[in-house]
Amino acid sequence: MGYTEDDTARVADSREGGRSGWGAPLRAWSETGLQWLVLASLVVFILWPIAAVLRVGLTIDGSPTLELIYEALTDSRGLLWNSIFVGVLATTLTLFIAVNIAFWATRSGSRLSKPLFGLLLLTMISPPFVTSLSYVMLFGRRGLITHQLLGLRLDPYGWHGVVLMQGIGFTSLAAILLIGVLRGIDGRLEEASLDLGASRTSTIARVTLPLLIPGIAATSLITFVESLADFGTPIIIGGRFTVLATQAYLNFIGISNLPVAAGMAILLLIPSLIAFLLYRHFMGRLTFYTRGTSVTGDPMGLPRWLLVVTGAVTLAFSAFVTLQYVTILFGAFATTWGVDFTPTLRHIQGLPSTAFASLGRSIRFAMFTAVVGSMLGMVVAYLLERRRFWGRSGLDFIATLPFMIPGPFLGIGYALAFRDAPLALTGTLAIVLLNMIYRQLPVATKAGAAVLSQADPEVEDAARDLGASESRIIKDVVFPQLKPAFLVGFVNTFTASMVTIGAIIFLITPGTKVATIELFGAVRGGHIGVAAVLANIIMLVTLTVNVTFSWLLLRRSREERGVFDVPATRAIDQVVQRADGGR
Amino acid sequence: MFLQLERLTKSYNERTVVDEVTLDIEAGELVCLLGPSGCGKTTTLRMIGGFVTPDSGRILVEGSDMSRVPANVRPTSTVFQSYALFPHMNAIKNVAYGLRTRRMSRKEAEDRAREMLAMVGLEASAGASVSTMSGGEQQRLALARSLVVNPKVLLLDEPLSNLDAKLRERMRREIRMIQSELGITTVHVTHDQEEALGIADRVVVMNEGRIEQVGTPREVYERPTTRFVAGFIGRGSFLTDHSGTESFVRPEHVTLAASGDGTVGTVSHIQFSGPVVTYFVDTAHGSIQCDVPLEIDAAYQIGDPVVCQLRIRAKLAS
Repeated sequence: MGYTEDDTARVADSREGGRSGWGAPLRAWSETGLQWLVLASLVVFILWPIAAVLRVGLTIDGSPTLELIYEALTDSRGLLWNSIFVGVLATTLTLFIAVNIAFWATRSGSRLSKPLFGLLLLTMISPPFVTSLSYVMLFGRRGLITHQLLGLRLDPYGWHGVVLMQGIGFTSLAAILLIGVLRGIDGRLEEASLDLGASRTSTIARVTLPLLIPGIAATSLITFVESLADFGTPIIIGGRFTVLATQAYLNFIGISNLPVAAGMAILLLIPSLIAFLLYRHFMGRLTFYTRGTSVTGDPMGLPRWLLVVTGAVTLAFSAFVTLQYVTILFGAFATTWGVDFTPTLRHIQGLPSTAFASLGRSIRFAMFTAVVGSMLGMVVAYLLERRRFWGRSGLDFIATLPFMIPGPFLGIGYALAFRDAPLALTGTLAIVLLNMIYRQLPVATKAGAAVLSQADPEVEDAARDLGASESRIIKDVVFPQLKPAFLVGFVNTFTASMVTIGAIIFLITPGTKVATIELFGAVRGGHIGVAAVLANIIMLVTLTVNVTFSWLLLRRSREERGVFDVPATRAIDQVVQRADGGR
Repeated sequence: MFLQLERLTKSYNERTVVDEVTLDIEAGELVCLLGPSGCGKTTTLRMIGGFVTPDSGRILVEGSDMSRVPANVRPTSTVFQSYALFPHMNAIKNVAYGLRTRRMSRKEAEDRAREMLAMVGLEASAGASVSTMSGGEQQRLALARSLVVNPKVLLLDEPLSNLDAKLRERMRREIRMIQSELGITTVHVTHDQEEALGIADRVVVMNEGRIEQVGTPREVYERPTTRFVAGFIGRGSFLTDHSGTESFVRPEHVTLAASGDGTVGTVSHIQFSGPVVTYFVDTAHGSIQCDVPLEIDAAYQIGDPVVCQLRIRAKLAS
């Protein structure tokens, strides 16, 4: 039995007992090089842009100062206050609806829970501005409900609409997270409470809710950060009411005042960072509470009054969301929304060729970033999870950063960091793709790390033991196990790239315009029909890809049951996916 | 010597987990490394396998130094504690893997793998997915996967610890039979003394990174040389004579009599456990445990004066 791994490169090395060759060291060297290249890219495309924002926002003419921050803070329009005000109200609304939905979905025993979950997932993959667009169509000056049905002539633009639409828009993610937490709570605790003589109502009040509090806290923080980073909703339906995110955008794009934009971005970052740290703190406790989840048996039902309340809220939410989507679907075929509802294909036929080009780009970019991004994510996950090297935990942190940083911050960061040599990328296709890839990298990386941390590292040792080289181990053993994580990363990166706007809006040039930018233009310009058509097409494409790949994922997990815990990785992934704030 | 460990040392963060371990193993021998968790036995095994690089010392196989040879080139093969079977491959692919990495054709590799599966009694499960196999089957599969590459040294890392008691005993016999049949030099790591005594040609008792004693199972059982070995394996009593020398005696090596030569003492406690009655006798040298077979039990009572005759008594190093 020959033990030399590479016959062509067999050169006797007396020190190693003549068994090793040069092939192994050479390959190990190139592998190490590749490893450092990948890890260095994390620094360049994540840390460097962040540093660039901090540099511009915290200095004037090279000397450190807080003047720009102070300026943004004391802005006459009270931007920071507005952001926090809207954030708190929207978060409260979201959490109220989401807690109700979560209880109903997990405890009502209704067969409608499944379609409800489908609806929640569906709304998570919808493009930006869908809520704003539907708001304008339903409640605007010529809105279907306010004007047509009620005959009102209201000015709908202001903070009320922003709070309402953000509150509803963020509910899906919050509800999905809370459903996960509620399902994880050990049902025996509730049984014990009932057994000790407590009523269902007091069991929920004294056992279930306290156990849910870390989940509620974490979800609130995620929602709050999402609200802070969202500039699309206030810019469309805020009217004169502005927030930090919108002003950062207007300063950057409108008047090219980069330092002020950077200062505002830093202000946005601070609450996000705090929220993220709290979130990590709470999530640690969360996992503590949700240990031992494999308890079978029916969950405790809800007391009648709560069943009615949660059912009513869930129904109202579902009805409203359905109405939104139906409105947008019909909007694509109405001659002039609010004036002439005659069905027509003119919006579709009249779609400018630039719009088609943008749609094509969106799909190509999303495909590309999904493939490259999820591959990169798998490699980073492998390196972080399986290799021991200096600075590993630091790089782990860097790889997680994009996920806590508001989209506009990273967009401005890319614009500032890659203006000049040696990496002058402004206006190129590369900067857009790189931004999409690295912003979504935490999703793929976390999914990969979740799979790897469940996989037995001895399996890789076994392959090594049986004569496999390092690259062969990755090909034969690591990658096959990572397939489900790759698919999760692929679906998420594709979806995010299809519907992203928060960051890339700072990087787009006419040559790299994508469908969401086109949609943004149409909504802002009041071209409701065109906007509705674009929104529908984006949704259709994203949905198709999601359904196809989820099916692949599920089919695979059925084939190899017990080997890969796909639901677990999906749940983790869902947490990660939308925790990234503004899209 | 077929396999030699020379002053093998490994530290993690200032903590020495393997401390100057020197051991010679002959061709075809089955040696058990026995010790409590954290004694360095697994680290020693992983150094032999090439998964851990020693800080100092050498590992020689047939006289050539393997210490810096990567695991994938080293002529050793490990059966891992978790079995570490490839979850995405079926049984035969798992076994053929090591042959495929050696550039053997698929056909030949699978033929050889099939032979090896037959040897461990898994010929019917060649196409089975790993996740559908029982613990015992997975164990055999892992063994087959290691044996098929014809390693010079077979390394077993607590191979039976995930099996239930009955199966463990059967697998112990099977492993020993296959090992003897192939005459393969084997290092087996376990914390289970019964397993070590039952399977090994020689037992190496380890504690805190050092070898305490090397000997045949009978030697380490009957004549432990250190306090640790005496206390770790089986039961027994520590005695200190007037000069302060410590010795050790097994309960079954003590004969109890009402009078005569021997160590005089008083019965302080009696424990009945089926085949034997255990008497605890207080003497001037310490408390002595004595197992008396039921059929010759004289039914002493607590407080009775007795004489303990120690048939085998091991002197312990201080």
